[in-house]
Amino acid sequence: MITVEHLYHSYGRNDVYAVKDVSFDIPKGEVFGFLGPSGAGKSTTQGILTGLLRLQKGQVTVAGFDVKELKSSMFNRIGMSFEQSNVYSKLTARENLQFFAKLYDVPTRDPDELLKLVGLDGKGQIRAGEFSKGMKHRLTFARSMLNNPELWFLDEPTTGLDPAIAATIKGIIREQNQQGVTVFLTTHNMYIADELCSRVAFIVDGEIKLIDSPKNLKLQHGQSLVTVEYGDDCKLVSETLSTVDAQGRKRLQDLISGQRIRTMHTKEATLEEIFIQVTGRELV
Amino acid sequence: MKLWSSFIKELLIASRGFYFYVELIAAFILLFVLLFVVPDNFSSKEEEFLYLAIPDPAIEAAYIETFEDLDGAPESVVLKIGRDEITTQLYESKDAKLHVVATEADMVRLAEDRHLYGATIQLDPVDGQWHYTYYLQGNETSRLKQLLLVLHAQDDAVVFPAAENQPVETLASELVLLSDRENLLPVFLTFNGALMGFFIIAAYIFLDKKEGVIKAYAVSPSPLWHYLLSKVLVLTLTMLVTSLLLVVPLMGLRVHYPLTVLFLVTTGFFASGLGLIVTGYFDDMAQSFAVLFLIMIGLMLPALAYFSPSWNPAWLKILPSYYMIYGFREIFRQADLGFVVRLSAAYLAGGGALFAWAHARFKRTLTV
Ligand SMILES: Nc1ncnc2c1ncn2[C@@H]1O[C@H](COP(=O)(O)OP(=O)(O)OP(=O)(O)O)[C@@H](O)[C@H]1O
Ligand SMILES: [Mg+2]
Repeated sequence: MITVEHLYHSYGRNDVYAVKDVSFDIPKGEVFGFLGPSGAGKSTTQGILTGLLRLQKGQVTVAGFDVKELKSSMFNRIGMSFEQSNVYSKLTARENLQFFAKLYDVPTRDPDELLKLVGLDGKGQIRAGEFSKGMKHRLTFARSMLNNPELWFLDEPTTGLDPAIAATIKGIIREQNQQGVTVFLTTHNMYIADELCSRVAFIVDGEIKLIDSPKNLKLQHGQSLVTVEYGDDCKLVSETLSTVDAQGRKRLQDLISGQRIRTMHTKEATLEEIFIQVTGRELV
Repeated sequence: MKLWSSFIKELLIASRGFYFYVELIAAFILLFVLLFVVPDNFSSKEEEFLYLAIPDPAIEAAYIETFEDLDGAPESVVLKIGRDEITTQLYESKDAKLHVVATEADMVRLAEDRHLYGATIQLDPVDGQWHYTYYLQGNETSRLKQLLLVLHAQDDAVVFPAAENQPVETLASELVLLSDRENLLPVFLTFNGALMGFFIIAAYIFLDKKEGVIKAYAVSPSPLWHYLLSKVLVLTLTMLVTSLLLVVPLMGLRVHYPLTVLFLVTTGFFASGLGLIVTGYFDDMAQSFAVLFLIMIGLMLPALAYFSPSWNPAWLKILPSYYMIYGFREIFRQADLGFVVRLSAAYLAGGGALFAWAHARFKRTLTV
C-alpha cells in the first residue's frame, strides 16, 4: 500500500535533514506504527506521504500513486486525521462533514452516522467553534473517514482524549482494519501502538532505527520478569527476578518452596522500555 | 461543482462572521455620508464680513448699491459667537454673501470665529481716498495676498472690465458634468471595494490559517486553487453588492451598469489577489499588520491627488488604485468607456497573475 525508498527531506536549503534515508514498505491491511520522540520526523514523513510536503529526494508510492506527480484522485482513496484538529469553527459539526463530503468523487459516508460513531451524536447542529478540544479532535477524526479510505493516516489519534473516548477510537481503528483498511499510525504513545499495530518503526532524529512487530520485539529485547512478595504479616519482602537466567530461576524455586508467598506477578518488558533500550532515547 | 460547494461554504462562513457585517455597515455609512452629509454641490458663494467706515450716508448707500443684492433688500441676520449675538445686514448676490457689520470689532470677531475673510472699507473724510483693510486667516497663499494688493493698485474702472473681458473656455464640453457628490463616488467606491476587499480577504485567510483548515483541504481531491478562488469569489460578490448599494441610490439610471459591474468585478478580483499575496507570506494578522497598513495607505494616496489636482506626481500612476478612481470617474462621466474596458482587462490580467503567484506560494508553504 505504501512503499518508501531512501526518503530525505530538508526544511532549509542546507544539508540538515529532518528525515534521512527512510525506507519501509507497508502491505495492504496492516496497521503500521510510526513511533518516535517529538521532533523525530514523524509528521514530516507523513506530510510527504499525503502530499502536503513536496517530495524532495527518494521514491514514494502511496495507494499505487507516485507522490512525485500528485494526482488529486489519490485523495479519494486516502483519509487523514490531523494531530491538531482543524475544522471550520463557523460551521456546525454536520456542515463541516457535509462540506468535505462534497469534495470527493467517491461515495461518502453519512455525516450523522459518523458523528454517532465518534460519540458526537446529537451534537451535529452545534458549531465546531463551540466544541471542546476533545470534541474537535473527534470531529477531525470522523472527517478522515468520510470517503471510506482504504489507506488511513492517523496522527496521534487518541492524544488528549479521555480514556473512555480513547478506547472508542481504538475500537473504531481496529474495526476499520478488520474491514481491510490499511492504517499508518503516528504516535509517541507506546501503549496504543502496542495494542493496535502489526508492525512498528522506531524513528529518531529522522532515521529509522528498527522495524518489527511488537511481539517479536518483546521476544528479542524484552526479559520476562516476575515480581514476588513474601514473608509474614509484619515483614513483607518484594523481589523481582528474571524467568530466563539460571540464577533467577533458582532463587524463584527456593522462594516458592521455602517462603510464604503473598503475591506473584509476571511482568513483560513494555514497548517503551524496548524503545529506550534500542535507541538510547526517551519517548518524550 | 466542487468549486460551487466551496463557494457556497465560504459564503456561509462569511455570513456568520464579523467582517461581512463590517463591509455592509461601512457601505451604509458611506452611503449615509454621501446622501446626507455631503451637499449635492458645495456652496461656492463666498461669504465675507465687512465694516464700512463711510461718513457720508449718501456715499455709503451708493457703495452698497454695488453689492447687487438679489432681491434688492438686505436681510437682517443674527449671528452667534458663544453667548453673544451680533446682528448683520446680509447682502446676497449671485456669487457672494456679504455681511455688513455695525462695528469693526464685531467684524473682526466674526471673521475670526467663522474662519472667513473680513474687511474694513474706509473713505477718508480728509483726503477722500478709499482705504481697504483685509483680515485674512493666515493660511492664504501669497498669490491671493498679492492679488489683493494688485486689486487696489489700479482704478476699479480698469481692473473690473479687464477681468470680465478675460475669455474663459471650457474644455471637453461633451462630458457629463458631475456634481460634487458624484465626484466623491469614485473615491468611495475604491475605498469600499478595493481596500475593503484587500483587507477582508486577508482577515478571512488568516482565520483559516489559524484553524488549519487549509491542510484539510489540501488532502482532499479538490485542488487548492478552488479554495483560494472561492474566497476571491465571495469577496468579489460582497464587494459588488456593497458597491452597488452606493451606486444605485446616487446615480440611478444615469450610469452604464454592465460596465460598472465589469469594472467592480475586475478591480475586486485584483484587490483580493493582492490580499492573497500578503497572506501567503505571513501567518497572522499581527505579523502582517505593518505590511497591510502600508499597502492600504499606498492605495489611498491617489485619492489625495484626485482631490487636489495640483498634486499629481508621476509615480502615483504606478499605484493600481489610481486607475480605479479614474476608471470609475470615466464611467460616471460617460466619457471614455473604451478606456474603462481596457482597464478592466488589465485588472483581470493583473489579478490573474497575482492569483497564480499566491497559489504557487500557498502550495509551497503548506505544512504538516
Ligand atoms: N515547518 C518547518 N520548518 C522547519 N523545520 C521544521 C518544520 N516542521 C518540522 N521541522 C523540523 O523537522 C524536524 C522533524 O519534525 P516533525 O514535525 O516531523 O517531528 P514529529 O516527529 O512529528 O514530532 P512531534 O511528535 O512533536 O509531532 C524537527 O527537528 C523540526 O524542528
Ligand atoms: Mg508530529
